[in-house]
Amino acid sequence: MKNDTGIIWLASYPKSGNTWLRIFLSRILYNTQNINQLQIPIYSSKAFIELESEIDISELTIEELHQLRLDVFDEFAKNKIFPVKIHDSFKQYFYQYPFLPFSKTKIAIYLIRNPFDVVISFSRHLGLTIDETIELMNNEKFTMAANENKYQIQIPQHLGSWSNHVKSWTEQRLIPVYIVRYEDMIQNSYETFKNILNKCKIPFTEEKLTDAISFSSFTNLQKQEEKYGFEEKSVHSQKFFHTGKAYYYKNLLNLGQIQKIMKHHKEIITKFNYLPEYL
Amino acid sequence: MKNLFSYKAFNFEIYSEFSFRTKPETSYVSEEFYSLYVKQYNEEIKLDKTIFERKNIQIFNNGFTISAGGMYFLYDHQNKIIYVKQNNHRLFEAYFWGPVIALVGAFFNFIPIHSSGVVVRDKSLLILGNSGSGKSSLLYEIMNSYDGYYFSDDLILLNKQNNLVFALPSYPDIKLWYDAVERLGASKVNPIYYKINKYYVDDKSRFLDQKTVPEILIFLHTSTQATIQIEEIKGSKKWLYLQSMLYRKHWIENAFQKKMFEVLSALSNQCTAYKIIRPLKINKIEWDETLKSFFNQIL
Repeated sequence: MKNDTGIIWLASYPKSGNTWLRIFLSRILYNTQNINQLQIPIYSSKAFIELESEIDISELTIEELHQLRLDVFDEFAKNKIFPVKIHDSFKQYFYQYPFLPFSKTKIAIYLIRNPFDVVISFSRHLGLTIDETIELMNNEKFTMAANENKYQIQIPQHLGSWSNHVKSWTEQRLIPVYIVRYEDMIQNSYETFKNILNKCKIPFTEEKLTDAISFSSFTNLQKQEEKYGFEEKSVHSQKFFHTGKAYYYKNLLNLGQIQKIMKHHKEIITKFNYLPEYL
Repeated sequence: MKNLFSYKAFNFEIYSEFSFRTKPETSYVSEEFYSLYVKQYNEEIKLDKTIFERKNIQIFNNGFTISAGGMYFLYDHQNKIIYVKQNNHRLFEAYFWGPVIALVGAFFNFIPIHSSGVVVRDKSLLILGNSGSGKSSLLYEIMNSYDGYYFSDDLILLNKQNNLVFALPSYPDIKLWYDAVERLGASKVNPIYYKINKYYVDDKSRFLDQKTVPEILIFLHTSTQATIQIEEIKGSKKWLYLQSMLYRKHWIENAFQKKMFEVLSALSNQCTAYKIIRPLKINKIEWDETLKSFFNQIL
């Protein structure tokens, strides 16, 4: 595989800055003008697989779909740098096939955000209470798009618990991974985004970098959403770009909820320096 | 040639050495049709000049080849024969009844679009949308609410004759996901495959086997927003929406561009068009009432 080709996995648990990074990279790579025209698909997108494979995918089993997507992503990444969003936890195999087209993989950028903020954002996205969302983030079986009684626009994605999601990507040794903290994207945007581009070996100029940071700034994203709407907004929330701050949970979670999150995820919270100062 | 199976659809009468297990046998006959033959792959067949090429497909000026999942299709347009090398019956049918038949149609100047088709009060409606947008459910709802007839569930071939665009009937199947079967109270017959909760629903008596002249286009989209939206689509936007609904878009746009432009422009001129945005989570009462008021206006 050449240096300037291959898949860059933009991996994260939901609500951890993945859309932000996609918008930034879309601007850098494709000069995207509108947030509804991102050219970075999610690995589970059936529409992308159908468009690229040119076969009817609506009546294929998950296993058949997975075989097909390995071919599609392998082919698509052949001659270019190709960022792909992914929320699944990392695994080596899916059914009896490799989980990812490993030979076409360049690097994974793993985005991590403190779980106290994630729980608030994710609860808004899912239309669940904070307590229900905390339970979900502890659930090793948690899988998105899993209802088999209706057509799902995405292939089911097994996430598991928040801690094991982080571990699955950051402790695996099959593909190179670069870990980025959401909080660093906010507090030190310039250096953090610059490091991401360097790690991905994506060429850029200073001008392009500052332009893409400014295009993907939270204020601009809120403006764009107000003007055009955002297609990825959940049916449960009023807007996608809601708060965009770090550590805003302090006024929104009660002590019991914070302790419950700590109980299940202490190891990872400590490792990534997310310990609340008063605990 | 030993005819194991014959089937009529899209103005083709197909004589096949391979059985079509999941298609109901039918004797529906269109008023005019072409014969196609489906045979075991023959190594000696050669096709002429390439006009489009991608990983799994080559389109020549006199046929095409598609290879997928260990299978191989070669179409010889001069003799109207589809040669097949097959290793998986499910994939054979998935390819044959979609991409292959759509592309064969294009060689007869039929342009394929991703659409359901229904006739209500003598008006032919096309319901266009991507997989999962709800075409079959809406087709079923309209047909039952207005005593209509359907002529396609998913794929329609368009043919232009004397400045009019005709929609050709496909085959007598309507397939619904389990949630739609429940919501619409449809009587299901068989699952399409034991691992998938999608069913054939029993409405063969409502299949209309004749070509029609579409008058209304409905572009169906799903959205995460909570409210249903309906708007009329006019001008170049109508054409662009139609183009986006081409079935096997890359192939048709590249290999049959002139014909595609001609047919879609004529269809765009002869139809009024609406976009319906359907929330992913439908409120059944609101949906039924909105549709009722909309269709009472346009039909």
